[in-house]
Amino acid sequence: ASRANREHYASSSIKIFRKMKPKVNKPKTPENLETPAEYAENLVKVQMISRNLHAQLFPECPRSTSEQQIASAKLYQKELRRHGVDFESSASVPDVHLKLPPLKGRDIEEHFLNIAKEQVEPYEKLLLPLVKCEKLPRRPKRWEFFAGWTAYDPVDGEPSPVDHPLEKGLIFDVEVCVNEGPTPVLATAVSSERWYSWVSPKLTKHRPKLINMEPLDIDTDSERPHYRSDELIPLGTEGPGLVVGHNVSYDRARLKEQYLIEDTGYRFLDTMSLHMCVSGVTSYQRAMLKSKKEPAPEDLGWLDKSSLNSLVEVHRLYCGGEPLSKEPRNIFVEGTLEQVRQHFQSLVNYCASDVEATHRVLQALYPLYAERFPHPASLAGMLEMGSAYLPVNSNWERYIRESQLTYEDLNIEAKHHLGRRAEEACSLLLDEQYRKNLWLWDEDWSVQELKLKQPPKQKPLPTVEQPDSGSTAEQRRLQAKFQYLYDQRSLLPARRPLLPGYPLWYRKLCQKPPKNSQNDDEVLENEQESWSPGPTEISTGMQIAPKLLSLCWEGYPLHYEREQGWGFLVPFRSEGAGNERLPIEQLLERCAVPEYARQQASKRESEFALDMLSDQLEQVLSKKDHKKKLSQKQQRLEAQYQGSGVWCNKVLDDCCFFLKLPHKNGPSFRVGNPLSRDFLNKFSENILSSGDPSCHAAARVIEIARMMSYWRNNRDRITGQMVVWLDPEQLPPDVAPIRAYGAICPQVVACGTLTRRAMEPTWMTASNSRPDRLGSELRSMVQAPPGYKLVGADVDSQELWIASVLGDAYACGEHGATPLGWMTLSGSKSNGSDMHSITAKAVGISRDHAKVINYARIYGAGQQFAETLLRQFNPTFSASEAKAKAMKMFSITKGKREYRLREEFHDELDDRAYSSYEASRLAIQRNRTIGEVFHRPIWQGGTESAMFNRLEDIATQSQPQTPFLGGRLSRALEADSDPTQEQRFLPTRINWVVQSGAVDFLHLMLVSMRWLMGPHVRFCLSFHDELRYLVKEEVAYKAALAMHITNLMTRSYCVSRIGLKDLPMSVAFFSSVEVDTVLRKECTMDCKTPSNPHGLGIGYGIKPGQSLSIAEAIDNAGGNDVSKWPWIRQ
Amino acid sequence: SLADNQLELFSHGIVYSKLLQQQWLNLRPLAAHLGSSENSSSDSNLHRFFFARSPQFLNNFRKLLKDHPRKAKCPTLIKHHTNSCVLNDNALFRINGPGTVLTTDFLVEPYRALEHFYNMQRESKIWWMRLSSDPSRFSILPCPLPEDLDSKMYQAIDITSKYGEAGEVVVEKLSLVKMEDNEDFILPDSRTGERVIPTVIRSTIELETATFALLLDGCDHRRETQSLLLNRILAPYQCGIACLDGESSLSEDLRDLCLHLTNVISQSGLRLCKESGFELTKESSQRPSEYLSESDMLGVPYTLMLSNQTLKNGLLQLRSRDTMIAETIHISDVPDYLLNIFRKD
Repeated sequence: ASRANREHYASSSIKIFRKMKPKVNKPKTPENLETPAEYAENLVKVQMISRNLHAQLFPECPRSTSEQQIASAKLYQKELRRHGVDFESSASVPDVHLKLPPLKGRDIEEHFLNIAKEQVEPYEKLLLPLVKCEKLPRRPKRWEFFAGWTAYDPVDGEPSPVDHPLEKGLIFDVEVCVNEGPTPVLATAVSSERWYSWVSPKLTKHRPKLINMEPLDIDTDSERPHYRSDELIPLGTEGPGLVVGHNVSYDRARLKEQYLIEDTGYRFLDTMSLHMCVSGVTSYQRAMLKSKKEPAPEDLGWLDKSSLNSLVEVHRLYCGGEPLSKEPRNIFVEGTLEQVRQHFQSLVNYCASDVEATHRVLQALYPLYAERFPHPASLAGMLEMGSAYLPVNSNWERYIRESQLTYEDLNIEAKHHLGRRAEEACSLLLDEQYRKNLWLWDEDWSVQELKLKQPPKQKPLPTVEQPDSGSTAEQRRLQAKFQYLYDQRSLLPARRPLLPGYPLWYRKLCQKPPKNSQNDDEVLENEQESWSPGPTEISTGMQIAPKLLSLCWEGYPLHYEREQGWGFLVPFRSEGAGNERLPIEQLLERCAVPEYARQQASKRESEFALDMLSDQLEQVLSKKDHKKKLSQKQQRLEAQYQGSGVWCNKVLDDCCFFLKLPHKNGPSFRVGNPLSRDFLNKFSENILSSGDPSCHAAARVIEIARMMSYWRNNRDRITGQMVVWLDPEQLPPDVAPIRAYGAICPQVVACGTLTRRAMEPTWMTASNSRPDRLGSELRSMVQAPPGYKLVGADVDSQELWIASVLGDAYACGEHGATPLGWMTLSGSKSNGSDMHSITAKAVGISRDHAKVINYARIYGAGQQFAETLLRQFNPTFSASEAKAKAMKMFSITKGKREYRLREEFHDELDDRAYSSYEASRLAIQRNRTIGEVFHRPIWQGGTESAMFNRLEDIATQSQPQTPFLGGRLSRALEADSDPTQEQRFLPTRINWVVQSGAVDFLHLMLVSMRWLMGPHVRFCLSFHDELRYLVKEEVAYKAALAMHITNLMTRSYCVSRIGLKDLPMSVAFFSSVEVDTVLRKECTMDCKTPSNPHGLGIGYGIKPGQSLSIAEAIDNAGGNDVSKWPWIRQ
Repeated sequence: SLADNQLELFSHGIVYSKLLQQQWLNLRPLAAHLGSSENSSSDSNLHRFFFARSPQFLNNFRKLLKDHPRKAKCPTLIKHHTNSCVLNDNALFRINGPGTVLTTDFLVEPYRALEHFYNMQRESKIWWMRLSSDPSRFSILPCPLPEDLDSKMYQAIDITSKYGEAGEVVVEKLSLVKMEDNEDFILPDSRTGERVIPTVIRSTIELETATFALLLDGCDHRRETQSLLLNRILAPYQCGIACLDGESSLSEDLRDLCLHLTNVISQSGLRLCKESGFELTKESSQRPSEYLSESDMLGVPYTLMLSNQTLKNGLLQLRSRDTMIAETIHISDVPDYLLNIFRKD
């Protein structure tokens, strides 16, 4: 009875499949006519996965429809129509035929349980003995000072040299002498059998045999370090092995075999990540933990359940006892190799005691983790995330060089413009014209005089010899005649003033000229070489820069006040009193009519806002937990002013207001430099521009500042990446001939946040390549070696789907039955039926802006935040306008709050829906809290109400669990101890449900890929919803198909877990899987940036990759029968 | 309009172009300089990559091997200049008569050719930017290849200088040609000693066009004044001397002092502007502001201003074209301080 028969469906009033689809967009090839009808749609006309797929994925749940379902479907359809969803007219996609490998288990849920178990089993076998080991082997009394690994006999501590530790399960810690570079100097490890130590040859001064190497084709820039794998610690190549450490990715990056192209099967378990899973905190909580102040009473509940992330703190939390001593560490941080040698025994002991502490933490923490994260896929995913690997080649060094040079070039250009403006501005000194200049009036224009000292009364002045006094008699006569003037040189002040006659602000920008000295001192030579006249010290970071460029905000001149930072001047008097310093007349001339041009913010801003959204939200959400009130007065003044400046109650010279420039972090922050990144990205040029029409330099300097900011903010992290270059003999034969092969092991914290997202400071926050961001081609510099490909995909709107499917499942038990669900599954941007277009239309804003605000709302931000965003995008919206729009948007989407009476009040009051106003009034009348009289309110009437109800439902449980893998929320946020804390951290917890659900999703994908591809893929990197693997060219297309199938199976698992036994076609496969040679968002991106002006194609000779839909992937992978793949058949 | 007229350089312009040529020689100073070569005017009809097959190029290569054996390795540089009748396709202006073409050939290892090509582009662009008063004027424009040429073998860019709406002019052309298998062109790799057929990157600059481009750059600055903002290193006149006296004519002493400083500056090698004398008195035809604005229009970066006070204490004013204000210096600072100023760009 596993197969549905046709008659069954024919009896229902809704056609679920048809022999031939009437849709024109489906190609009617003869082949299609012969195959059995595959098309299916559900009760709200969402196309579902093809019949063959459904039968394979949900074998125990054949499709059927009950009368009751049909009846409720009518209601869903009505609601959809009410929200403007035209569900009748969505396009369908071609059906897909696939023969999947048989499920490992009865259903998809069992399947994932079994394959994940299988994958973690070898590692658990190594891990559990360590967890259970009550007493570690005795630490040796004396450590061998011998290069390489030494094993110590567990009984007598006898040392013996070994190539690498004999056991495969280790607790491990590496120490680095920071002043000597990032390579390891010593390490200790312990297994359940014995202790090991490793000492760098650098420390023992033992010279490793010098391999005569061909010079690599990396311009041996002496500034750039060049790491080789023999400086690193070997662990052997025979996996599986498991290494436990605290922040273990740091240790992993110092292991030799981790840099090989072939995965050795070693995995890394990070106690810091385990700690984050069990006891992670929000940024607000972290601030509280760091603060030395007395904690607030409401914080006492969680403070003893968490700690900061360092080993000392984590050890204190889980193990208690004597605090760990970290003092010896200072030698590693500040000392030299010689000092490490001197304190060798105590430093190895320190390292070993960290290993012991890590073991104690593991013993206490792992059982907690295992209990709270019961599904093996969580551990499997974490281990996989910790094995990230990025291949690079000589282009890496070239990229850094070009970025650096371009940066310097742009810097020179910007400096040149500023310098020119400064020189030009000097002429304002003539007749004190500067008093009338709107930007420079408050600079220091004072000048210094060059004065001669009084000549001594009695003595004559010493004669200053002149080197040659001319060739003709006349010349010699003149020389002699004016000798008395030269003699007065001795009357010049010993310290000559710099540029006497020039204004002080300008002199500050100039270098002191070198002294004219007759002796040929080399130092002086150098000094003379580097000196040039003019304002050479100027830079865009200086306070004078915006003034020299005559910058205006909304047409008003910028002005700097020490306390408030940068702002602008708005006149409020039509004439000056006559005693002001400020050039009010000129200001009035310029800004007589304070009229604000209505200018929509540019697309760039919404892109930027989307980039920044997660950070910003984290801040806003934590702040909400800890509310602050705006003063009434400030609100009133802000309402009068129509622009985006920030009122700060400051009046200058009794004739103008000083308004602060808006800061991205909120009105209480001061803008320190309007030419800085955060500022420039946020605001388009038509708001910030030069007030001087002749100053075309301003636009260019702003442009340059914008280009440079990415590199300036990231170059230290990028140039600091530890690239280990491999020798040809360490490479497979087809890779060896290339001129340089290196790899980076990015230091990924597998679960680095409260929501268990991975964290890494360079790659995971890497910007997409953009033409105006110098160095933003970073990711594309990760390049597969010859014979290999990078295969990967982005999960399309992953979090949105997770949130909406939770609502669908909970409210209707049908995909797409809520308006949000339907728009997510079947809405399309092209015909304006996706959620962003619909919201944009309803509220009257642009789609890009609606998108940002939609995400913000779904991630838990409130109406207030939406208002702020609206005003940020449209600085010309008035406060009330923004408020009205935000309100409208929220009532359409989130809906209205409805309160229902608790049963005990049914006698006295009508059992109906109450508004929050009514509810609080009724509660007050009864002298009760609102929660005592009413149930938790629900959202009603909005497109997203069902979703929010479900999210809040999960988030307010006493032990919230992720919907897919049943992972628990951090102890620091669970409210189980105190029910009154339910509302505390609520936005954060709602956000956790979605984000942590997405992490489950990612972990499941990692497990599924490993199952489908076995050892034929190497995990490269994943950021959030993006996944990339390094694979051999010959299996690249199979890997691409495996990616598509992974998406299908992971989504099937997820929906099955929340009670839906079917999957919509639109989300079943990736929209595309990229098969490429470099890491980039889309395989056709040329990544043109200021540092890569010719693009990847011409500049680096890199061809575009391929982007494969499911149909193309099947074709390229050699057919749709996956069960026949050799490694799966076995 | 400029486009219709043929342009011709006069004395100051010629001085400027000579100085520019000197700067060109100073850039990449390790090159083997072959001096002037015979022109082969037929080149201009063919595409820009043709040079690699010309007899002139082969000649130069042989000269390198013969006259500069120590520089005959890869990578290396050859410089030469030719007088040729330039058929100018620059939109902005046309040059009257034959011009000088400055050519730099960069012979590089073929496997690093692209990298060298980009470095050279950047280096050249920066050079132009430094000579100019508005560095943002310059940009690198890739040139589309003719259909029949493979981008692995040939690449080309132009460095252009833009003048607002008036248009732009090409100041330098860079072309990369991967040499075909040819026994005539082989050099040892300077690092490995391996014998390689070098890839050639050729830079060509039309001296007169470039001179016009930079002179125009000096005027196109949107300042209120009519100053000619020439780079101080390239300015035909580097400084002037002016003498202020409230009396009807200069005193003998002041005149002597001016003559003395004229001697000192001329001997130091600085190019002194003597165009309109130095006398600024009630009787002389010029007033100080007129005198200075004329200096500014001639592009003289600095003017020494003397007065009767100078005769007492040796203090004088060093007035700058760019800031329009003056710094007080002592007579004993002349000429060393000035030499320092002009030492380096």
